[in-house]
Amino acid sequence: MTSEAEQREIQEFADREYKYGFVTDIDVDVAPKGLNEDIVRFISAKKEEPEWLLEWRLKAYRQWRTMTEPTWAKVEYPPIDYDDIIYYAAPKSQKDGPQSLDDVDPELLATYEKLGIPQKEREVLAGVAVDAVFDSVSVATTFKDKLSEMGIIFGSFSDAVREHPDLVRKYLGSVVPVADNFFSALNSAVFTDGSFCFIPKGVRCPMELSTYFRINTANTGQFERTLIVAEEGAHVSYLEGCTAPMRDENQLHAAVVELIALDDASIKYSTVQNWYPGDKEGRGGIYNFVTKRGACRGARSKISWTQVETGSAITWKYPSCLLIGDDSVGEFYSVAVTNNRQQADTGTKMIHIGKRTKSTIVSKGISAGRSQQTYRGSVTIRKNAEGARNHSQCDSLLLGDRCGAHTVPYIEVRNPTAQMEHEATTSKIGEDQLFYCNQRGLSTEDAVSMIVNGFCKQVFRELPMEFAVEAQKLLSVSLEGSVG
Amino acid sequence: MTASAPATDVWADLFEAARPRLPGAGRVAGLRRKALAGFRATGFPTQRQEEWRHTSVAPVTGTAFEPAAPPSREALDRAAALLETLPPTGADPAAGGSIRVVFVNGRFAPTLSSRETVPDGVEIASLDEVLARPDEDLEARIGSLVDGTGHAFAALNTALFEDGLFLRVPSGTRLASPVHLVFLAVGGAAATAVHPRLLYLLEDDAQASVVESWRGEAEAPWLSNTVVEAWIGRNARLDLLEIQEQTLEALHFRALKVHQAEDSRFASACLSIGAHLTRNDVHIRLEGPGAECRLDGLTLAQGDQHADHQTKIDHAKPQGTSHQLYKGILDDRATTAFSGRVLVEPHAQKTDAQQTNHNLLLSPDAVADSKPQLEIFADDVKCAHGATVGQLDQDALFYLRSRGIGPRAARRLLLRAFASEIAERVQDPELREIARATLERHLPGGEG
Repeated sequence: MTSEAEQREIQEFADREYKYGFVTDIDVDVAPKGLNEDIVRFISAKKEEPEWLLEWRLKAYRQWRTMTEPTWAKVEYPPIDYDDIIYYAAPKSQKDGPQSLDDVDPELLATYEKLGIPQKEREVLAGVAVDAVFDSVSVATTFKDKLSEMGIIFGSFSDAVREHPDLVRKYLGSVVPVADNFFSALNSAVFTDGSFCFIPKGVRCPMELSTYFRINTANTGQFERTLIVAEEGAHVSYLEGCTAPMRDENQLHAAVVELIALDDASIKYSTVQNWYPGDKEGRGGIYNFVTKRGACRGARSKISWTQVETGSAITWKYPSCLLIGDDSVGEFYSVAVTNNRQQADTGTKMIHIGKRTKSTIVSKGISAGRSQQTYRGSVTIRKNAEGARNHSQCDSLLLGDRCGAHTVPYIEVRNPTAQMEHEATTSKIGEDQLFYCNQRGLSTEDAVSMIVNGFCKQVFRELPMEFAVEAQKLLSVSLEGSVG
Repeated sequence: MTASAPATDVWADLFEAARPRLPGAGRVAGLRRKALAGFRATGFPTQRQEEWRHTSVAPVTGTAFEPAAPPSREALDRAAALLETLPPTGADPAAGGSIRVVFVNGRFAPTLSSRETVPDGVEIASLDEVLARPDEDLEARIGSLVDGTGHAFAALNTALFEDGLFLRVPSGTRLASPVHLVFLAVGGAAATAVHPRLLYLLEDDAQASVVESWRGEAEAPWLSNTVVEAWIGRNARLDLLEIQEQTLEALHFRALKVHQAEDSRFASACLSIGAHLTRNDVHIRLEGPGAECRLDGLTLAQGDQHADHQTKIDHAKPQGTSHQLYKGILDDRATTAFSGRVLVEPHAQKTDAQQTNHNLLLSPDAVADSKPQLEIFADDVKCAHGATVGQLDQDALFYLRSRGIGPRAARRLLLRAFASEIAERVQDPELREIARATLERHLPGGEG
């Protein structure tokens, strides 16, 4: 491949526009711009929340006021004016509450059509219960009855607050405390909705639980709250996926996800994130500041994070595991693709507290265009984590000479019986690799696609089937036109 | 920051008192003032600062240090005796041909040094000597790599250095045998601070190897705060071996900055064995294409020792190579931190950077922290890093025991194997012998 061809290929890659951009126009019930205690009360009142939750929100809000935005991540963006954000927007039709898909606003359904996720089809073909979040309010929850027969609670966060306040109160904020960080405190104050999932003792959830987040309404910050609790011996696999409409103004997204696994429980949390990354000059695009943390509270429990991150202008996200129970297991598998002016600072934290705890980190980063990508991870082995084991592998692939790939792992070991390994490599696709493929009759484009897919295979293998297909599609879409 | 404010005042007073006797006028004096002003503005680092997370400077800020006085006749006699009794560093003047420069309490000791065999054109002089006479080239160089900005200890050194070494190897000259620098601490009862400053200037095609040996008998807190600035010219080569065997009273700070020109080669091995607290800051800038650098380090720590190694390699031009291997063996409550940063600037294509940190923890209270970082802005590069922390390999121990080797001997054998890799990687044969001999003294024997 000549350097001219390389240049062209980089150019084409960089020129690729976002493929899922469109705006759905729906009447919304909108809070005034800005944030103060009244807004927090307004949100709480809108959601008809109990007193304790309002107090909790206000506590978070007061803490947030005293905090400053973190600056340690390797990302740059203009200062966010938190008083120029609308903190609550709900589709009007929500008031009556849709009873079935037929009751759902047809325009919403059309949006899903455009996204290529016809729900009926999904229900029938995949057996997936979908709790679709359309701009902060749940629109439809399916398979609820089927799940509730088994004692599984799966629905919107607001419903959970109404129907199972004790459970919510017990676990909310127990993994990510109110004042954990700037963005989680903001979320705690103003979160509008999200998902709640509870798997009782000994139950194996028979299907993949899935939530589609969809950001709508210009200028609305999206503050989702997800709480998943797996009791003793329970198993659940949870999917989260997103695409977003195209617009010019930046959108702030500060979600909080909390996972709790008790003895012998396992939670698998998979994400495909494809929010609007901004145009090729970096205008617009989502700011994704997410706090995701799981606590392996029980012995032999397991939490596994898998993420495919292709969207957002800025990603600031570190799904973490607190390995408290003896023999508990934490996993983090990640593929991150950045293009144009995207910036991603992502990684994980594995905190080994219990004995013989194990963690695995596999991170694959692909940078193109003028994007900057950082893997930032931390593995801590505490004093009592006898026989703890960690293996980390972070590989970066660079497409083009104007992007950057950075690796910042922190390793802190306080126990001599621990075994800790970290490896990282950075490279580009070798000309000899391409030449070999060309020689065997493969086009350069197919060869690149094949090599990149192979590069990510270790992570894709961890995704549930539905997502694996989508992730591979996303990746090949990203690579389309990137080779001359 | 406010907590260390009184400590900064103490050092400012020390500076004012020392000022009349500090060598260097004009530019150097200005450099000193600027460094001190910078230090007063920022103060000592706290553990809230990312680069100082793992190292508390409380032993420095909490002690009232006096500047080292010029060594008395007794001190020099004591130093001469120490040179006899301490295990040899390999710098035996009787062997002939070797160049030895001895510093006692930070000051050049001409009576203990032997410079007879220095080839023509090569300059090996104490900084005090050379700053006494006008030397524009030197004055322009000193502080041009390290002026103390952003580093409290380098700033203190810049403000307060009283002596040190200037090594200049002219274009095309190769030193046949290593230059041995011996820094002896001959302590009294008072807490003492020395700030040696070392300048290594290798012009194009020059070649030299240097052993820095830090040792002594200090029984009161001993702050050894060194700055090394090195320029390695086109196709020149510098091999450096640092052996740090100070007493446990010592606080050893050393900041090294190297600028490497096209096709130059720099290799450094650091054996960090003594001192209560060790902090090494290494910053290499590969300024010419095809430059190669190699940094190796071994930390042997026990008791309450703490060693912190910070390296930064800046690949500014294409085809550069950097290989780093840092190892640590930690016993008792010893702690270590390694933070390595490899920066590949845009257009520094064909860079090959490797960074490895392995730590062995021998006790439940030993601590190892590691932060290997890659920052890469060019695409056609080969960069990798790796880190491991663990205890001795149980399978290897079992294997040795199944071959009839006792548990203690097996353990020693494995420890030696782990440590000696650093000595074996030294390429200069004379330096390698010295490194081997040093490890031999500090590692438990293989028998028994």
